[in-house]
Amino acid sequence: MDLIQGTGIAKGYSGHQALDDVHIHITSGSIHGLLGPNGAGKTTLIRILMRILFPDKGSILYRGESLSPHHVDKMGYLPEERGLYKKMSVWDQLLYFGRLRGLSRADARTKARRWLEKLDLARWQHRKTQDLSKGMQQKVQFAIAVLHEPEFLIMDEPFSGFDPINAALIRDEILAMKKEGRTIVLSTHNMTSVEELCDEITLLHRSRVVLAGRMTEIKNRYKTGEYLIRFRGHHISFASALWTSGQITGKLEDGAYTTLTVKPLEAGGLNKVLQNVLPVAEIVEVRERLPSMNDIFLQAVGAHSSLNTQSSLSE
Amino acid sequence: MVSARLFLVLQREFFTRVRKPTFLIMTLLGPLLIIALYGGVIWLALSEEKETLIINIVDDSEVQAGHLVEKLNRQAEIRFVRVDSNLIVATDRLAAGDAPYNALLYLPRDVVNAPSGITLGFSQRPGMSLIRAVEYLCQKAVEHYRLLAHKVDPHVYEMVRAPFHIKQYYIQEDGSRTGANEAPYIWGYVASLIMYVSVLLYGAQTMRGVMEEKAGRVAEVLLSSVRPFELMMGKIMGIALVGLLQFFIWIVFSAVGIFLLALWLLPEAVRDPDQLQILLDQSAQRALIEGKEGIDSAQVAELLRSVNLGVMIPSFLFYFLGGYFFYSALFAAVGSLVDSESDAQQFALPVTLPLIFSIAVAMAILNNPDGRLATLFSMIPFTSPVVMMVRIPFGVSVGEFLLSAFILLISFLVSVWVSARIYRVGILLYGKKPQWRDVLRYAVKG
Repeated sequence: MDLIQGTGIAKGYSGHQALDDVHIHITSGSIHGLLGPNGAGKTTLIRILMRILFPDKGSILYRGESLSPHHVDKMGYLPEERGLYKKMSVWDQLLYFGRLRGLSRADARTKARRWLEKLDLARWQHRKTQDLSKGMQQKVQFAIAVLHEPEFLIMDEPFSGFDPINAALIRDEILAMKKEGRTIVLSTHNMTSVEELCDEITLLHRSRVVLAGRMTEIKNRYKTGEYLIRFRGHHISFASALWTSGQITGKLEDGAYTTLTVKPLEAGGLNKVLQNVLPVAEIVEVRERLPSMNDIFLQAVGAHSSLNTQSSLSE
Repeated sequence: MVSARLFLVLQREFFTRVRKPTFLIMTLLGPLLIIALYGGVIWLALSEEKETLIINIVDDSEVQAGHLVEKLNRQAEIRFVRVDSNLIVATDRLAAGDAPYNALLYLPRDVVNAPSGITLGFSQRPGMSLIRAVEYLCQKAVEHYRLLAHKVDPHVYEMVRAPFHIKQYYIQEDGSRTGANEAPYIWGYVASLIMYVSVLLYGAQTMRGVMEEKAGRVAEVLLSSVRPFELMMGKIMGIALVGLLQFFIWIVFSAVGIFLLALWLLPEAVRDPDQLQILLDQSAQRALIEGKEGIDSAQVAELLRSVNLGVMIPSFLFYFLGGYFFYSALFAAVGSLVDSESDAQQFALPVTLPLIFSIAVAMAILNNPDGRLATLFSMIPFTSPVVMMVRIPFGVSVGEFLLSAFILLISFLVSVWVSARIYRVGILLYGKKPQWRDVLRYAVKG
């Protein structure tokens, strides 16, 4: 079931169309990657989802209801540009934002205490945020976004500024929240985290959606039919044995082992390839080569850019 | 829920400011500093008057007018001696610096008919008030002998030329009278100045607060929980409360201070208010008889009594709130549009200019607080808070007051509405300095 269903969203600023006929579906309980190059319109879309901005056109449904202020209470937001009151203590800050999110004073206190412990910030709770390191300020910001336990959480570049240990801590918290059934939108340029965490994505480019769907489907759609075959033996004898059953598109040598990327060309596909090469190579691993999110991103954005260039040239 | 969030913002704005040590310092020390500054100047001026003039009288007059001069003297700062009776000897001693006196008063032989022959010599110039006092004593003595010469009883003469002031008063709409003297000018001047400074200071605080939230990128986090209007109004109202608290403390302190001052200067008037009028009349009489300029304690008391503080204080608070809300909404809009102090100055100028203009107008209408100019600027919301402060001590008709207040109230709503539209767009605008036409578009389209 869709938690968010955005249809035909458009938003323009003076002389610039930030979003143009954008459709977005966010499945309830999923981690949804919102991807796109800089200036694609991600922040504008997030702000519209958070009701900070209002679209010029289009509609947004939240669990089937038109998005309205009371829905925002169920949302959490970690903006890319982190902002805290510099001269306010960590504790006061958590309490203030928690209460702005609709928590009672007692609830805000209990939850603030819990998150301070979880994120190892308890020792710093009475310090002003300006006295904290950047990483710690990031953790405070994260705690503010999740303090009221939102069912829908939007995080813009949640890992930026974190060292690997804290990044892992945040990643674990995100996964734990998913386990609890919360829906999370990750807007990021970090494709590794997209691979690790996301169930589905929406890729924006030049104000439009150029790719959307479940990760597995998209990866299938972008796969090239190539396989990675790792074997012990010489790659020339492998290539001779392969003959016309497949085409080698990549090679990686690793000591006594070689990994070749092979695209089957004849009927029988991978089976035929393996039949041919088994007599000359000791095969240790065969797996389908799926495109990385990085490849997909580059391909989708690149294809769209070149399409746009071509159409503008033909005009 | 909406008002709860606005209240939370208001609470934060209020408490973070009030808890700052600077608030306490400014609230307690600010007025003390101003008083100390003015007090210091007055003290310096007064301490200069404290010098003593020891005058050697060389009395050549037939009538021996020197005795009367000595007798008439009531001033502690002036003492008369008769050490040297020869003008040349006395002049030489004064010049040599070994005389037990520092001035030399010469009364010529025919002092009654030719008083211009009276001379006052000194090696160091005394203060003007002391010279005037000596002149006054000589004049009174000469007058006395002239009256005797013309067979006029000096007591009768004093009675004939007893000075008097014409009492001025306003007739109010309900037929009651209120006093008219210099006091309203002083009240008007001071109140309009405080109004101008307060609106400017607190308005600028709002602008800085908005800028800080924008530059510190807190605004976006806040806006995901609070509507821009709530955020802006919470800030404006929180700072207004800080201002009101500050005024409240000052009013209480002033009341206590004035009471203690009155107790010290005029204990009889504090015990029995009717005594004040008697003291005032005496003071006026004395001022006229002695030709003395300046303010004494009775006049200070009259200054406090002559203005209806029951009207003045609520009016001040109303116009402060109205003016502050009107201007600070505009200041908030300016704060939301800029990222840096230098840009803020450029955008704040059109907001501060009318305020500066209003204090200039206020000073101009002090001469004619009921004129057409005064009435006109009392109705314009940009100037009315400051201008009305000049006029209220003189008395403003209820109708005019209500109209001015109504216009200010409506204008404040319009200003908040327009500013909220600009604020909503401006607060999320980074890295781009908007042009005036952009601002106009935000105001119209939101």
